[in-house]
Amino acid sequence: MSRGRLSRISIATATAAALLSTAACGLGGSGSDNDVKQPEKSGKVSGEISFRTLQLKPTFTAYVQGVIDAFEKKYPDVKVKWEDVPGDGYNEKLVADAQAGALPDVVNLNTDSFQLLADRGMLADVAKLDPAVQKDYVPGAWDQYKLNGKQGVFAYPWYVTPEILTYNKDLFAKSGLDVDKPPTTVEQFFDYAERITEKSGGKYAVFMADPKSRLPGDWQKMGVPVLNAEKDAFTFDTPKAVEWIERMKELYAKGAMPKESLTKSDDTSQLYGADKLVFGPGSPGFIRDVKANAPKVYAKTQVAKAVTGVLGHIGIYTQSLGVRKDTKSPDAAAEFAKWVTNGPNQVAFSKEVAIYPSNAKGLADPYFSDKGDGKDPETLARALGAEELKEAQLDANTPVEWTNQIGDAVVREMQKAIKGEVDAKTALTKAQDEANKILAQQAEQKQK
Amino acid sequence: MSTTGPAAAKAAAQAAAEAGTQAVAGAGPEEPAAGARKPKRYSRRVIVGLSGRYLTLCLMLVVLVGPIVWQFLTSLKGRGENVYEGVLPSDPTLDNYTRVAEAFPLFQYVGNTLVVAALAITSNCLFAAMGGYALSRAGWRGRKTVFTVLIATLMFPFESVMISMFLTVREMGLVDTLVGVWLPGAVSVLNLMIMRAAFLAVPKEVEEAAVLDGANEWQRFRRVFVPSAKGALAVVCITSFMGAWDDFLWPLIVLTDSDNYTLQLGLKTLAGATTVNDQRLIAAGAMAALLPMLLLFFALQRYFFRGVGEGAIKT
Amino acid sequence: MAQIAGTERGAAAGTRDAGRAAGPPRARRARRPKKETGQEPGLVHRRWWTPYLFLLPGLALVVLFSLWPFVNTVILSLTDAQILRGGGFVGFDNYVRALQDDTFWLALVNSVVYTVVVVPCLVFLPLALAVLVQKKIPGIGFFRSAFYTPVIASAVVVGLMWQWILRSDGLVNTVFQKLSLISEPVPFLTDSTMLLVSAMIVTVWKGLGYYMVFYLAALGNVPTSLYEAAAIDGAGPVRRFFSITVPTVKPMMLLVGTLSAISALRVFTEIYILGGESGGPGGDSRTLPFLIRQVGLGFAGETGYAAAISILLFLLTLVFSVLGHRLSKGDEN
Repeated sequence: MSRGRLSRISIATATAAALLSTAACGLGGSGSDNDVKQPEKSGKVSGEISFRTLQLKPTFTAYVQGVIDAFEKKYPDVKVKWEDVPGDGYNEKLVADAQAGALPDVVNLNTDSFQLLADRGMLADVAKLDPAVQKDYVPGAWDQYKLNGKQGVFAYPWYVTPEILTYNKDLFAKSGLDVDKPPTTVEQFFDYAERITEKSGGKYAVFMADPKSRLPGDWQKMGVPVLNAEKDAFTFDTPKAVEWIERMKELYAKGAMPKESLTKSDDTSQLYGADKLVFGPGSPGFIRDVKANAPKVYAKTQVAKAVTGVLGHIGIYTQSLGVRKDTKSPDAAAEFAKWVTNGPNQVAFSKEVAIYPSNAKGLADPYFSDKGDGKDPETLARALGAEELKEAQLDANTPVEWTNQIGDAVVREMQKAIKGEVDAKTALTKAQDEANKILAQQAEQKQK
Repeated sequence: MSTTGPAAAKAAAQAAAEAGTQAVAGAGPEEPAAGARKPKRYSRRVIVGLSGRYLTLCLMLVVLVGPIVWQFLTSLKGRGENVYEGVLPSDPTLDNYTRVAEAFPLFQYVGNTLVVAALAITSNCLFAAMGGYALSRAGWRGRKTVFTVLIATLMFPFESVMISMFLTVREMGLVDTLVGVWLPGAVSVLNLMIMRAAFLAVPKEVEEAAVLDGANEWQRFRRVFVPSAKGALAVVCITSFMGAWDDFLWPLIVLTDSDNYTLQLGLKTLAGATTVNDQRLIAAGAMAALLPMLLLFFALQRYFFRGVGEGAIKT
Repeated sequence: MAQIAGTERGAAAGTRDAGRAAGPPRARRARRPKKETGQEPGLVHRRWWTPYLFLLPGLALVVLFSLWPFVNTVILSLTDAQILRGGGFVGFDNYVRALQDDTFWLALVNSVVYTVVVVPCLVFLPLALAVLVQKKIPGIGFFRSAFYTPVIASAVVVGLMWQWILRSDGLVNTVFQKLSLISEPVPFLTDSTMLLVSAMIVTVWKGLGYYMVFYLAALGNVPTSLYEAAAIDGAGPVRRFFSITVPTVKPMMLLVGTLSAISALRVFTEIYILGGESGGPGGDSRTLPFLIRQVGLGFAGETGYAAAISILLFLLTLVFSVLGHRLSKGDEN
């Protein structure tokens, strides 16, 4: 559910994101693969490189500057120019810069921007730049930066935010459920939700319906095959998925979810922080938000491992550092990206904020196994998150084929079904057809 | 109001208007006399009218200022307090405002924004007034075409032209400069239209008198038209200040060095994916950004009425 | 396009009437030099290029930053370009595709309905508000400024506040249920039609203060003596509003009408903040700009197709302007 947090973008971003593309004026194919060659290393680590981060100033200015200074000390011929961009509008700025041929040499990417830039051949193959580096990272994290149908790995994994379960234990206990036995499967989660709703008297809801952030994760956790083996068709139209819709529909009608959460979830923190929601969003960062904004509710907050169902492990969503393909100083850029994402630097970073290293050595740091007295939600969340991450695997991730566009198309059908306007099976079949149509269309466009 | 039909209403309105015109054109001295004849009735009506007016004003106040008040109250909440519970802060503090100032170089960002805002106000007032003046005067070729094209450009969404704009600004070597932030908004079509509408309302006789005095086109513009359109200029000031003060996406695209950041860019760093989203801090930042706009509005609102009438009389 | 230029005539006519009523005696006109009498309205420019000189700075910027990008969008709409990827010329394929797409028509209807409802509200309500705050009474500056705050409030806060008011357990529904006006909560945000209505309310609410400022500037043109005279004549406030205020601010009403129609056709934020990323339940509340963003967005962003829908939206805006000016002209006759 780290995705949920990332997608909590404000209006400005969403407003502009797409229309930006409308204006992309280069008809000359600025991003086709053949335009730019994989950079050749010269063996000399020197030159000036630009480094762009996503919203680290001002909170982490000291940390990042420290990392840069240490690097410049080690390689005196390199000058790193650091620019930090706010999260809102980050992708827009990237697209504009990419269009203008002005990407930074080393750039922080999230899943969406990584996919776009890598697919358009704008990122260097880091496995080629540095063949030995792979073993340094958690395997799942490394593999995340491979692309279907393309040779290579296109970014260095950086920090990770795992999915965890957060809930208000007072409200949870009111239903007679054992606070220390949180649900572990989606089916169980629904059962619990039903019990809690029976006792809530309409005063609080259990969870946010928000199909956009629940799918396809919930289905994967229930054992629904989202894609076929060839990854060229969606196959989620199964009885299990029908069951998911039926349960959601029933719970929605009973008031287990806020009515409005069917379409949006930007008030999750508000509801949770006001004792009106049992399950909060599942990211360790959220715990810090609650601690800052609703100290009373923070005291009632319990954390547990995420619901993983038949998968038994969580997915892995990392931030990453890409290297611009036509960088003038490939040696310095690659060396610097490796430097920022190395074990010690990632651990030092994680200690400052609720994030986790994707670096294997980093994750083994004792800091991440310390549960304290097991009572403080923030400490506990850190330990549980790290434990989960050690077993995290890519098969629990949202498949790359499940693009934003496809997600939206499926979610629209699900909303109708959960509201009871359309029969579950009909909606599911229609959703799958839509998704396959878009998938085929995208494949066709790639061919061109 | 009971009327027999729209036609009747219209006729009545016309009659009233004509009557009004006659009264004005007729003779001034009659008016004070009319007022003096029934002072008591007049003042009672004023009192009733006034209280009705204030009542309506307060009602509208409740409807319109909700979010700001809410945000303001949130910004006063102390750290131990639950942001999401209750509206009123139990222990009001200005602590959050100090924290905003500490979180980033507030005054530097405000300074940058003021530079852009000052440029925008100057260029908009000057060029929009000039352009609006030309558009409002007849007697030159292509006027209708230009007007149509301008209106049409209002219809393209900003986002759809943004990348092109960025490439142009880049070509001009203005990336990462405050001039680059300002330039695309240096004259907005909206302001051109506002000034044009204002100049159209200037009575022809005033202009003719100036022509008779031997004033050339620039002098007429400068001495007759601009003073007549002070209200509209105040509006242009506000819209261009608001544009510069409030804009987020365009400065973000143009600027890379955080030393050049404008206030809105700085404020966005208060809320984000890796930072704790402290709602009190965000609210305090938003209030700090709002205040100058409100103050400017408050300072300028009295000029709204320095419209055509007053300006014309002065010349 | 000719009809747009018609504003000029409409606006000029409206002003002329007001000018005649308010201006100095006609006597001056007789003294006007003969060589200029042929020009109506306006005066002869000594040098033919003077008007162009006046317009130059504004026009140059408009061409550079608005027109050129627009031409670009037109070209893009004829290609199959994707985000960060060039495309080939495909003729009118994108337009054909849009016109055959049910979603396009859904969005078109939503946009049109939205505009038709919102524009009249935004032409008249802010005028009423401006009249309300026009009179100089103690504390009026405070009220004027306060009424402007919705315009400058952050969209996120506005969104949260309206959710709090309109949600199924929100302020309105709670009050209505307490008063037993309704038995079931009104689905302001979860029914696609009601969602559009809610978004309209927010648009009008935000527009009140914004257009109020426009009208305040225009109301400065109405000579106070006219009101006094009409008052003595026994005309009530309502009649004075329609017989004096409305005719004088007519050019501004046209401008406000045009501007509000343009922004109503571009509505996105309100739908997004109230109806979420999907555009209301099942996406049934999507408007054209919503569709454009959705189509052009992200990894699979179809730049060419999004550009084509943008152009169609532009044409729709044009149609509305033309209709608007027809209407206002018909009103005059």
